[in-house]
Amino acid sequence: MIESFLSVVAPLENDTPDAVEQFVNETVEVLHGLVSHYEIILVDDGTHEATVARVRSLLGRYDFLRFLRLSRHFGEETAISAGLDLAIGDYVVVMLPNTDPPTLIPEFFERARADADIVYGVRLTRKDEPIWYRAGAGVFYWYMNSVIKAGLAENSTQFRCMSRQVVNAISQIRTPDHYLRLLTSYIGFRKQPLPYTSINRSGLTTVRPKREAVNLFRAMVIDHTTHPLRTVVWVGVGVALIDWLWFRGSIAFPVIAIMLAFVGEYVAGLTRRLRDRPTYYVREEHTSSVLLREERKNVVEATS
Amino acid sequence: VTLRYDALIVGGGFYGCRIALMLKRMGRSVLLVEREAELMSRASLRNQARVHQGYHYPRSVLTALRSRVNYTRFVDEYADCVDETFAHYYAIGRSLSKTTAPQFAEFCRRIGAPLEAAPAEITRLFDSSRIEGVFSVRECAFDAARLAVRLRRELDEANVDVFVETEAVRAARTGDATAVTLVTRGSERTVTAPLVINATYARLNALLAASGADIIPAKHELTEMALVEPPPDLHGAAVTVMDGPFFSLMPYPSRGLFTLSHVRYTPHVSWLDESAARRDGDTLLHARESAAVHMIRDAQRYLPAMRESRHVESIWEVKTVMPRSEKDDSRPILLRGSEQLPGVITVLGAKIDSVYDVEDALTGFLGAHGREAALAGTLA
Repeated sequence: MIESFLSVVAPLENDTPDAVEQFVNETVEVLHGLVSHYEIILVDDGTHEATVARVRSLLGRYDFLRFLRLSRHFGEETAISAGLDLAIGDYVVVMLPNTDPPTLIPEFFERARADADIVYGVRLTRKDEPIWYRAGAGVFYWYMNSVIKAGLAENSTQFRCMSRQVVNAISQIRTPDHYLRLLTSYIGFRKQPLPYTSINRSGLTTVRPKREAVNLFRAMVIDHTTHPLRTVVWVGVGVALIDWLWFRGSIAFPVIAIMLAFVGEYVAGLTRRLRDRPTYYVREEHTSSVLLREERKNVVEATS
Repeated sequence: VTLRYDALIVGGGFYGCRIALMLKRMGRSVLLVEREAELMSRASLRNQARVHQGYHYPRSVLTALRSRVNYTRFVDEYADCVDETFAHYYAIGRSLSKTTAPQFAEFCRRIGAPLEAAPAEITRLFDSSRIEGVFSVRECAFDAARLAVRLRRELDEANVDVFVETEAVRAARTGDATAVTLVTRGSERTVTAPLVINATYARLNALLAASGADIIPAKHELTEMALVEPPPDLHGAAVTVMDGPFFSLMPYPSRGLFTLSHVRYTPHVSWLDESAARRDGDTLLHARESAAVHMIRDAQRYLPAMRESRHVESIWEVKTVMPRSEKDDSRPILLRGSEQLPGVITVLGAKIDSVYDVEDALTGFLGAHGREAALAGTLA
């Protein structure tokens, strides 16, 4: 057993009660033999009542379980950042209960301790996803990495293990658009990918709806770089010149419309930031209250 | 053998001792029984040792005001048992706090509690992204060991009979008095008294339930407080972070250490006394895994110097509150008779200095029913 404190942060959204229970069971089992101290922080980001009820019952079964309920649905990224704000471990593992297997926690943790500040999961295969989703992801990574050189890890997931130093660096960034994967590339530190095959406990689709996927693409680009803005500025200068020289004002209008759209996106981003208010609110916080721990242990011993 | 007293006090904690002395002064014969080998060795000893000046209750002005009054009384009366030598700082958390720094300052002004901005060398010890403001307050700690010695002496001087290692297991109504079965190291005897005070704190329902009386709905918590050597940077100051899932670092004079308690990690498990499920908290006191590391880790997020504190051991105790006071964080006292056992009065308080409220209420209660009536055992 390693003398260290490990926190696991898991946002809950559309997770089924059974999936969450399974996740907690497996995680507790893994952590129990792995480190001297641990905590599991489940962040309720507007999940079903049935799942909330199940988590409450888990609080009576396992020690060192924490349940943070946000005041409404804020989105996965914000839920994760809320969990990171509260985590107290030397290392913090972020994972999605539905798709990330707890059996991999030791490997993430060992690698982070050995020679990396961040070990991030990378999806081995996207074969199970529809073609439009994979194509969109392809365009996204091409743009982020080949065009603007953001150094974004391709097919990386939320599953990751970070040192305390990294968690502190990320927690200090207070923006309404808090994309862990982008921030990871922004803050630097030593990084290491860990390819793995994700699971699917609930059997529900893990593909984002089209609208949400497009929005995420747009938001992550706009949040990370002003490259599109600078591009359209140069396109605008070029078109204006050509138009003035040869076409006398007949082709500029659609280009201006497109430029305005880009400018609009950045203005919207600025407006969001200028509001300067908390990015989430906490409704309530619960911790483990295990009454019959000793008795349960006896039962386990008796049946083994 | 049947002994007869005017009053029997069950529970030799601070409240029990004080009530025994009070009734003795009223000219009654008094017997005080305590289950442990020493008086004041359970909840009166195993607690934060804080004498509340009111700062702690920004959501219950009444409790805060009562605290202010009782604080002065307590500190005057037990000057030889309190430690006032340390500085005390209250810090207000930025997120998760139910009170903001300006609200806290306004609250202190309203209840008239002394408050100043903390000196800069203290304020900079805190992480300003997590702490909104730091205030310097006046609040002291009591030395439970000295208090125990002093009360033992006062009881002896007043000729109050004291049985230790004695548990009151059952009570039954007999004529105009209550007969209580006492067990001392395995041997049973019966005491009859017209007036029985049940001052057993976390075990308040043990005697009632065993006697077939209605129990009082109470909520119990198994609590852990870490005894630590404080970080040298604090120079022996106490720190309380308010008003949410935060922590307190208080001197614990009876051991020369500090207690670290944490709203999130100090309560390990809670349960309600209801007719079906009453449980003996003492059976839970052992074999729990300490959460001291969690307390220190979380505390150092707000006060990085806490990294230098060292966990020595933990003290465990069952804490009991009335379910009602959880919402508003108030600390009302309880004084209640029993329908089935008319001569038995149960008292409960949450703070050491609330004993004055309990005494006043008890005096009023006995007065209202007439001294003769009380002695004749016609309390309801």
